[in-house]
Amino acid sequence: MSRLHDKDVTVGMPDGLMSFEHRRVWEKFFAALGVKTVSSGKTTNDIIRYGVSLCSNETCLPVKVLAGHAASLCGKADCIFVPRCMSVCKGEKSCPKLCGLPDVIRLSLKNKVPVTGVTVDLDTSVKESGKSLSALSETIGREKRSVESAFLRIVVPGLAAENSPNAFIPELNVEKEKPVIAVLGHPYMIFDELLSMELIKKLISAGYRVLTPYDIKRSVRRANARPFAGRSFYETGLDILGAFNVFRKMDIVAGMVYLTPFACGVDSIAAEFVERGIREEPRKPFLKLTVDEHSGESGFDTRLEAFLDMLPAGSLNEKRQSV
Amino acid sequence: MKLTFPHMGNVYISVKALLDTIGTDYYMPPPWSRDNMQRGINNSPEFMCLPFKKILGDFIDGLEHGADTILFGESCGRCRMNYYGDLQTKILRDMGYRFDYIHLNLSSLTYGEIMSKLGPLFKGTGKALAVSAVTSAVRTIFAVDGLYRAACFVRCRESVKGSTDSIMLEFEEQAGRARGFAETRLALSEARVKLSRVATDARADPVKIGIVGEIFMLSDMFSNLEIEKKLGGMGAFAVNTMSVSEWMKKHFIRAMLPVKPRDKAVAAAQKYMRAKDIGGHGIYTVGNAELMCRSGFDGIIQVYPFTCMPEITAQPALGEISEKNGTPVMTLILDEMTSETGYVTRLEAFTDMLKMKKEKSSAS
Repeated sequence: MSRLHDKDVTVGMPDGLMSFEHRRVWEKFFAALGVKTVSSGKTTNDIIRYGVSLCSNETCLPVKVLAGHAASLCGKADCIFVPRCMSVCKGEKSCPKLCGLPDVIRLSLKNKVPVTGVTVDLDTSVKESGKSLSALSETIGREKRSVESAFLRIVVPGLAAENSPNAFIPELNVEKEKPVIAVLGHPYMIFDELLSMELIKKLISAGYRVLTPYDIKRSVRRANARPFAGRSFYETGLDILGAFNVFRKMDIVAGMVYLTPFACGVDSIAAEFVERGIREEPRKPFLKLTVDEHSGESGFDTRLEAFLDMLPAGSLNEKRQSV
Repeated sequence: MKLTFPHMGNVYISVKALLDTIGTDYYMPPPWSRDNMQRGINNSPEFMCLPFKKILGDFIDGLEHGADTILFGESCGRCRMNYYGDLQTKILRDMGYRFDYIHLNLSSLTYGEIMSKLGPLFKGTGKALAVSAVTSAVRTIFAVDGLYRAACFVRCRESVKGSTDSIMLEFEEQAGRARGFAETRLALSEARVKLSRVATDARADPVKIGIVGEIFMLSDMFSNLEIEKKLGGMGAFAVNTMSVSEWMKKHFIRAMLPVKPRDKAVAAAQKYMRAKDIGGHGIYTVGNAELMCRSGFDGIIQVYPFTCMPEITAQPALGEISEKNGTPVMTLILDEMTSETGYVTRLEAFTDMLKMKKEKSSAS
């Protein structure tokens, strides 16, 4: 690997937002370039508290949490890597908050540590990444050519991979005959144990099997994403709507839980289509849980328990433990 | 066929003249209706933005009054506005209404697009008349926005408080009664003459406040609780950066140009937001705020509806702009729960602070 400078750069990878889906792709990208990365790890209460204090009041909880993750890497990394994911494939786009993300994080951190990013706008053209890749190559001290080739080889196909890294959690979803609760939501909500208040674990310990949108293949999610199938819409919205339209026709799905952060713009559309769609499925109870930084776990648990009690008695073969 | 259309500020003056000229049967919801807005709110998702709720309310009112065709525009940007049509159609159909929905693709609005989508409206109208009517409509939008800008200039300098407001009120009534472009133009020119005759204080040196933010809220006086009028009444010169005519320049007229000029606001924003687009007009909010700070505005106000995704993204940059340029910036977020009194208090406090700052700097 040819180097531009001898300094070893450690890249900090904040573990929030789309990193739940894309973390491994970016880690592979940096590994191929021989660059050391350090991850911020699981979300903690301190990270949430710090993130909330850094960000403007109006932004959504996941962005605040990402800022907290980025801040927790100060001192551990030479630069923080926040990709500007504007679209990960043709005919899709990301939430506007992801488009300004590196800038929002840089401004929130008050330039305490340099923020670097790669612009990914594959809906427009792969060429949109050019400038940001050369800036990255200077920061990490690798030749532009090798950075570009690693980007084309690993990142471009990886971001829109058919199988999600979150598909099928084997140690948790062992018993196939159990009834299923479908958990809908953005990956950074449902897979973040603290933000989701361990929703998936709680459902499993109550005796259910859990399916998420990311258990379904990407092409299937896209094909079923009514009314936006084949049209341009927000990436996570397509995931949720596509999965919902698959789950609603599955007999084994006993109910659905939709986890959404307070005032989410994508969910204001996607969740409305889900709520209106579920009314046509009288046998599928539905629970929408809205969380923000002020949510209390007891209230959350009470609502979840009430929902599980409401499920048809026959839906669970064995005696259910308390949540 | 009976058409209905939603309100967005003063665009109705021009749309009404257009529909009267080509002789289409239509129903226009009242421009200032709290009841209509409430019905929109009742039937909308909780976290949807205010423009969606207001537009839905206008549609419900239109369908209640016998309209069977809805005219609305969509584009392909990143803002939720592009999906209004899908969700509003679903909500209205679930409510039991039957109607046709005409989508105008606003991001590539050309004469061809207008003529093909609005074909049914122009039935029985000659092509030449249709083209001239659309041209007159575009010119009227510019003329109306020009009049409102002139009113902002005069209002903060008038000797007798309220004289500008009464002229504008008269204009709105006259334009509301007008049928066709000739009468609308007459109302416009009369108002312009009256505005030029308003007695102003020659020594007045009002504080200059730039308004940036979400385009629907900025161009719709009902939604922004008449921010221009309120600031003018407090003796501040309000410069609104977003209007429908500005939007037409960017999308309609620019689309027809063979060589696209570089956008000054987008270039100015790059210092803070290194992206060409953060959805909606977010990048223009950042760019215009920076440009206005550089050109010596006393203060900037950002206005957007609660949960607006592009403006939330732009907001952190405004804090930085304020710090770097030493210009105060205030963000006002509006939704259906906003109380007008609290809103006025904040505007008053901001204006007073700017006036004191200005006096202090001119004294030293």
